[in-house]
Amino acid sequence: MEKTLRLPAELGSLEPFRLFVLQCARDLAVHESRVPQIELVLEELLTNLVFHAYKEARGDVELACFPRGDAFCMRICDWSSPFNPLERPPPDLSAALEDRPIGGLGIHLVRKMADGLDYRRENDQNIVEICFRRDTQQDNRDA
Amino acid sequence: MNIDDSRLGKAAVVTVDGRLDAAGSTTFDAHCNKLVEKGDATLVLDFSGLEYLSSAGLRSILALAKKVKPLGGKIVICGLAGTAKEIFDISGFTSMFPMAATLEDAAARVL
Repeated sequence: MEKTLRLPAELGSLEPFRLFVLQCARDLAVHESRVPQIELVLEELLTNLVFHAYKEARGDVELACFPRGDAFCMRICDWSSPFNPLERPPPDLSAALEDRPIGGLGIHLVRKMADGLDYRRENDQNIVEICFRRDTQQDNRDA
Repeated sequence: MNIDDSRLGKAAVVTVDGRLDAAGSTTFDAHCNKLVEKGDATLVLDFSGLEYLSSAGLRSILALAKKVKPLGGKIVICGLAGTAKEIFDISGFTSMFPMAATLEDAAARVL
């Protein structure tokens, strides 16, 4: 039941990846209330990869979608140097406008939206796995 | 994404429909920067037709607010709802910006 799509790590690949995930989510009967969150997490992790992991380098990203029990999961693999996006420090949400740095919110949103999140380095790949419950809005998000 | 301009007293109203994502935010930046260059410092962002917002959009909104603040202006957020509102909330943006439910409500905040 696993479907994969491999494309170059560039902004032009965001839309085909998005359409791929929307189709997979439909096929796996993900509740429509979860779809915007899945879309968001995908965009944040892919843009993070393009801008921070690969930077000037070129390479591919492979996205897999699969069910795991009650969950809909995505696995995002890349072949850049070791890069764990989850190590990014949390932003200071209480800072005044003048003091808020521009950027750094993407991974924060990923943490808030996903029900399960994991990074590992394996066979020269960065592998991030993200799972969402398929039924409805989750009610016990990580703080 | 579609962007339209209108006026609300001294404020420029920028109506954004559709997706303010990594692709849309580039267009949004260029559009708003042009307004600021022409002298607008108070902008109402009408997001009532916004279907999707990502951190790229948040980044654009914050950069714009930082740009108009020293000019004595501000950014008022209007009509935000659904997942986009949720994203504002969990990013701490709801407390950083004046929030208006309708353009009528926004008018009172730009006087």
